[in-house]
Amino acid sequence: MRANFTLFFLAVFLVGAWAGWGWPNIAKIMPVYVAAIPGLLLVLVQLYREATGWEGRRGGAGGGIEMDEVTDVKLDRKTEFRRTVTYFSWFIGGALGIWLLGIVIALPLLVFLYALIEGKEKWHTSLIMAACTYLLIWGLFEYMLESRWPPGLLFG
Amino acid sequence: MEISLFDAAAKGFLSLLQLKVFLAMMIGVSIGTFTAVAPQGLGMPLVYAIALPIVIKWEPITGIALLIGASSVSAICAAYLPILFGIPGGSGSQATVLDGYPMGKRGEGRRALGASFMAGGMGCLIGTFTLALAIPAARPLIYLMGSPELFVVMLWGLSMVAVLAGRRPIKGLIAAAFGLLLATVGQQAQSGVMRFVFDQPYLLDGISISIIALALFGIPSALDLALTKLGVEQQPVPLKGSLFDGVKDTLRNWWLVVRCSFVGVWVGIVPGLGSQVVDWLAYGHAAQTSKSPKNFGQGDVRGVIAPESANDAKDGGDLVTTLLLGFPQGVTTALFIVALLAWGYLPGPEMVKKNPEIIYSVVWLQGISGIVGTLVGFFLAAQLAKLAEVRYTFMVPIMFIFILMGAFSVNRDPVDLLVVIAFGILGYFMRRFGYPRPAMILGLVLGDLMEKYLYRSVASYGFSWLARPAVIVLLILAAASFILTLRGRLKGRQETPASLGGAMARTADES
Amino acid sequence: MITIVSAAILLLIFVAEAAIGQSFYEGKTITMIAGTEPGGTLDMRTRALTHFLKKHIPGEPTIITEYMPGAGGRKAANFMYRVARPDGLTMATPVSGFLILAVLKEPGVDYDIGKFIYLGAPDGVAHYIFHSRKEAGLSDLDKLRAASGVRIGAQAVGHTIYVVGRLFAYALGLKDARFVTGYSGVELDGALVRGELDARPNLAETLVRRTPEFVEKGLMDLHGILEAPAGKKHPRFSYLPEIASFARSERARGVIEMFRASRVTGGPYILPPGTPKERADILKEAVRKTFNDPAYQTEYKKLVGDDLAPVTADEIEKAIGALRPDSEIIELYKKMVGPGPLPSQ
Repeated sequence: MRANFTLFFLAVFLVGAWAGWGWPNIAKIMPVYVAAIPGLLLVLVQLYREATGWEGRRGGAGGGIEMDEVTDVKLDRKTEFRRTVTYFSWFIGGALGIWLLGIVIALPLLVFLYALIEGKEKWHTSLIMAACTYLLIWGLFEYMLESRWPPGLLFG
Repeated sequence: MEISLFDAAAKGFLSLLQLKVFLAMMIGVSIGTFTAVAPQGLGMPLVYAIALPIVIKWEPITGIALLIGASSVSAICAAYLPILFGIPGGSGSQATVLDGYPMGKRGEGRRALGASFMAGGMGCLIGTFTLALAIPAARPLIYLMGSPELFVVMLWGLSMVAVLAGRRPIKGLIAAAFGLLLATVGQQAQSGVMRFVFDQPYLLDGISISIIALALFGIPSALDLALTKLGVEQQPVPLKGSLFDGVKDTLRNWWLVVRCSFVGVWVGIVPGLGSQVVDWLAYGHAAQTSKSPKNFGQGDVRGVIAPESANDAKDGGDLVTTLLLGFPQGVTTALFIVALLAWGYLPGPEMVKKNPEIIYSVVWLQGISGIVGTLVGFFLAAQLAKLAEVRYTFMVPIMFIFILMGAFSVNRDPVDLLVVIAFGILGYFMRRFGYPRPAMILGLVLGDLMEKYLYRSVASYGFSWLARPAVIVLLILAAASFILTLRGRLKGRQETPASLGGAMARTADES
Repeated sequence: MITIVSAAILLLIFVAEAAIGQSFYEGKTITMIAGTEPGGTLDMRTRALTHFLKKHIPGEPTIITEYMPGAGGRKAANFMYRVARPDGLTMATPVSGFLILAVLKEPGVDYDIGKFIYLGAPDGVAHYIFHSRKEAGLSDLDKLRAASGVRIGAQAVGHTIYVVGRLFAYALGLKDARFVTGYSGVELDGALVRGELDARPNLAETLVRRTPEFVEKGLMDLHGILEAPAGKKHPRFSYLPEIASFARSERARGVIEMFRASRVTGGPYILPPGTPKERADILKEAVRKTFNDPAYQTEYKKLVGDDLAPVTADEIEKAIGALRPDSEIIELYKKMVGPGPLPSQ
């Protein structure tokens, strides 16, 4: 899985170098010569390190700082996988809802359903949360600031 | 009739001693606090665009009080989102997530907020003070910083990647290169070539950095809550530390505050250095120059102090160029200039000569609203920090709202949603497999600027720009900063993995 | 008798139409699509307009703003052409460049500018002055023409300032002019003072407002002016030679006229094709009244710094009709707005 993710960067840099190859120099320098090609070389080094277990041996003891937070979640893999998929499903569902129904309807609906189904909150609590959301999105932006959100595809 | 600057300063202060000016400032402060807490989409540019047609009908001082009150407080209070939710705030409050959020998760949210407001307030005052001092002579500094000098500054910024890559230099550089690549999406200003647009009109203007940052950091942060079912299955971490602890932390690190404030002022003064750079530069500088950088990225309070003081000092720098030179630094200052012009003032050297007391009024207002903003922040922080105890069923939907609405409000285009999902998933995997997201953001932010300045330098000067004195000095500084970082890392090699703390438990598995 | 009855009938019809118009917009909401991000100067100007516009539409409907930035105005224009309902309840102000993009048949243009219904524009007059910094020593036209490699600054390839700079360089026959882009408007002035650039074009009003010392202290040499529309002299700079006087060929004059035509349409307000005539007329009249409203004129001047220079719907339609030059001019114009080397006259 981890090598697969490094392959993602490999693909990105390959596409970058290939797409940009035909451009005039002025357009090419940054994306191809500064980003894509060095990136490609670095990815190959990283793939080598992963293949030979280099980092496992060194134990990441290169000094320096752990500059991005590392999640300290302690769950068994199955539960973590399930909850992660559930979470992203809700999020993507919300995004889809915004596209189809418009943000004014979709976000309060998302909040209501998430609280009710996922969070197992009571009906009225979920309803209140949805109402507050609606007040923010419609009340503040559309009503007070007179700035309309685009309608969803189904209402467009 | 020209008056002495001292008289102008006094006159400027005296003109503020009116009830309606004070009321206007407080209205501005309220608006600014609200926009700081509200999701992105209600930012200063929109507030100014709405307020301007109204305030230009008021007396200038009253209108200025509202505008300055709003913008200065909005910057100070912008730390709520990163610390409490792990969502990057608006421009200038993104780096705060790196240490602010871990502090929040540990239950030290109040301490983090206290530190950020104190640092912000101090930064604002330093910025204001600089503005006051700069009034007699600011022009030379601006004209000294041409495209070649700015390019070298960007190089210095890029050396931060070495810091932000931390213990994963290869992965950090990969992430930075990816950010640089992303920065080139869109139509290039210099050649008109459509780069990586693939015939999609959405991509013509590039991908919005705000959306990327929001998704990259915000989505994994919300996921944490959903994973742990915090508040239902897990007990919330008990709140420790107080606002006052945070204040003490800031005062203890006063020299860091001063240095980062100067970074902020300078970014504000120099035209072309966007507000998106300031917090990363300050953060990187703090990490680079720290004698004990181990805890950066895991909840080191200095990682909150540095970007927040720089971000709030930047407003002072912005005003230097806006008022003294008539150069706006962004949409908000451009609109501020529109207001000044509508009132009959001409920002720039003319205003310094003819209406210095108005400039000093702005300076005083900036300082006063900074103090007021800090106090408001403290007052609200005590209540808002309790959000750490709220169960995930409330928090996750709130974060959904912030992320989806924040992203959608940039272009109001359904494709924004696709971008949010894509970068959210990317952020999840990058965090999981140890690719530092800050390095990518830095590449993204700097890539555009670097290319622009390099091109301008070569187009205007050929290669003779490399021999300019300021360029040589800056190159030496950038090289020194890079070497310092490397040396710090090499020294760190002496340490054993065991001494590096519990959070490493997962990394051995991942890398 | 017949005359009286006919007049009475006509009067009845007129009153009925007005009544129908009145009852149509009453209680309704008009959406104004702004081709810009929320916040910012264009947003602010649009809000200022809608504030006055609603008062001049019978029935005083609510007007709310929707944002559709992107692609130089193409996104908003495409929306208005393909998606927006032609019911008189949606109007738009795309960024003004959307017109010329269609003439040049740029990619991403899915609209026909001849089919939109135009309501008017507030900014149909512009004057661009081409100037160089004094230290460059290009104090007159002969020195300017003799110099080689003059560095001319602009925001981006295709930007209005860039195009004007290219037109001046072309008309003047500058040798090996170098166009340096990637600056904001304000950075350009700084770069000129620093000596990073030699010359730039700028709107006369911006020049006078933002950098008065350039003119008053003689920091810049002013070389020429581009008037849009032609013949409309700037009160202060009428002495400057007009760009057309530099042109030595019909082709050169042709591209200059093409730019002028694209500029005089200003940033028009539009309705989707097929909007019923009565409703379009109500809105046109409302826009006209707004432009004539002294309160709006004052507010416009305060916010924009320029006097309101309204262009009527008819004038816009005429200008667009004239914006169909022959293919040779279009090809030449494309070279002007593009990044390649300038052709010679």
